[in-house]
Amino acid sequence: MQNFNHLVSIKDIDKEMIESILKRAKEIENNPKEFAHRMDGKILSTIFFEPSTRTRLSFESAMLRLGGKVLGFSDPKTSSVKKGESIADTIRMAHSYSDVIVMRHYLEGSGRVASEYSKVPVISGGTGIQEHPTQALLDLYTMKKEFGDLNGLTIGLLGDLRYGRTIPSLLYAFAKYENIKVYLYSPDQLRARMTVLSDIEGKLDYSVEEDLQQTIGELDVLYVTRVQKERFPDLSTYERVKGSFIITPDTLSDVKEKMIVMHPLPRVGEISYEVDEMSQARYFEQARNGVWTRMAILDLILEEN
Amino acid sequence: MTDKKMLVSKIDNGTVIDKIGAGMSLTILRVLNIREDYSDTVAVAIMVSSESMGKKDIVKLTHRDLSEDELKAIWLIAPDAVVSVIDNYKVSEKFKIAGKITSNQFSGVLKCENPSCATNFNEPVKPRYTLMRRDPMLVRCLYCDRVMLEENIKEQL
Ligand SMILES: [Zn+2]
Repeated sequence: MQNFNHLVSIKDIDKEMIESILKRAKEIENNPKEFAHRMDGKILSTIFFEPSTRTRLSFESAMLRLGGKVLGFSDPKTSSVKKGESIADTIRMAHSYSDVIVMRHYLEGSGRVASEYSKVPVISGGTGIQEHPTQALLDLYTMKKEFGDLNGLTIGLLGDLRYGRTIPSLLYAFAKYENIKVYLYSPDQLRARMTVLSDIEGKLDYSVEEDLQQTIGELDVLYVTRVQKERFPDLSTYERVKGSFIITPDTLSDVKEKMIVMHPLPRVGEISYEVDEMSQARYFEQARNGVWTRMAILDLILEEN
Repeated sequence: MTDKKMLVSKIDNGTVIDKIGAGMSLTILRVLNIREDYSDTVAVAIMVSSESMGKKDIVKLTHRDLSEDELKAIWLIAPDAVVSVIDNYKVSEKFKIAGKITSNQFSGVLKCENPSCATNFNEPVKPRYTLMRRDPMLVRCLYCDRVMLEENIKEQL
């Protein structure tokens, strides 16, 4: 197994490490008390150059449940980052105050810059449109919990596959397994980026699909992401396509019995509220799984460093 | 050979870069950061007749060695370049740049074309790239993963 110094891309870790994280997450979920003092005396800095209540609270909760402490800032307006302080300088400040850093930044490449300047582990909480590795890991955890094994699954990714930062992380993770099949459903404008697809070419069995209904019956997992108005050149294009990317009970009328619907949240109408009551809905549990998975990541990364 | 001798005399110590594609020598000087205030003698021969290349450029740098990064940068601009290291008027080493390149990563030379790449902001990092393909050239930013095509790379050279 390779070193686990930082986590800024799923490409930084191998399948063995992914499996260790998922296994540790399960151990923690089964017996949280046993891990309640793992981070005694340790401090996590959360540095969010872009607001994200969900990811930040999930990490802070994870650290507190491990017995550690948290410090950080999440509002760039009140800190020095908006005044032009570089990532490198911010990180060099944070690493002298803490044992591990979680950073979200709106720029691509920011995670790598941070990891090059940090003396303590840096975990990405999302970097521009590039990647969101911990979200992908908690998604894998949710799937593994549900199905026992990731191999053999057929997974549909739906929505904004171009700018959604979790999509590349998920695809890179899936590509590490021998036998996952992926269907990609998106508006033409929001197809997965060529660079990402070329990275998984030959390593992952995927296909770009036009119509969800044609293949929905094969899916074990339907992973829904937000389709944002701002991503379209004009409102009429958005209005025309958005209906095809909204999940209602009707959409799910002909699916496998044990199929699940996931969403990284927050949603803005992509999944109708009626679906919440259906047996397929797994997105609230998915969010809960985020804490276990992030506890596992913190625990393993500090075990090695 | 006589042509070359007429253009520029031998150098005592330094580096000769030969077989540069015609017209690319000034780009190489720029990449090597050699400007009008440079303190040592630099000789540039442009559009020299060449048996193998038709026309080529030659650059002679006195008292100047090339780092590995600089060799890679030159290689991007002049893939056929041949470098001679001159030591006390003698060629102490002569090699094709292409043969010296062992890793496909390089830094400098290019600016990442992704406007939201962290390397384009006030960070103390040098952009770094992986050369994914030589011809036509395809380069990928190691920080943001953006891929740049030859036509866009050429615009920067
Ligand atoms: Zn870049």
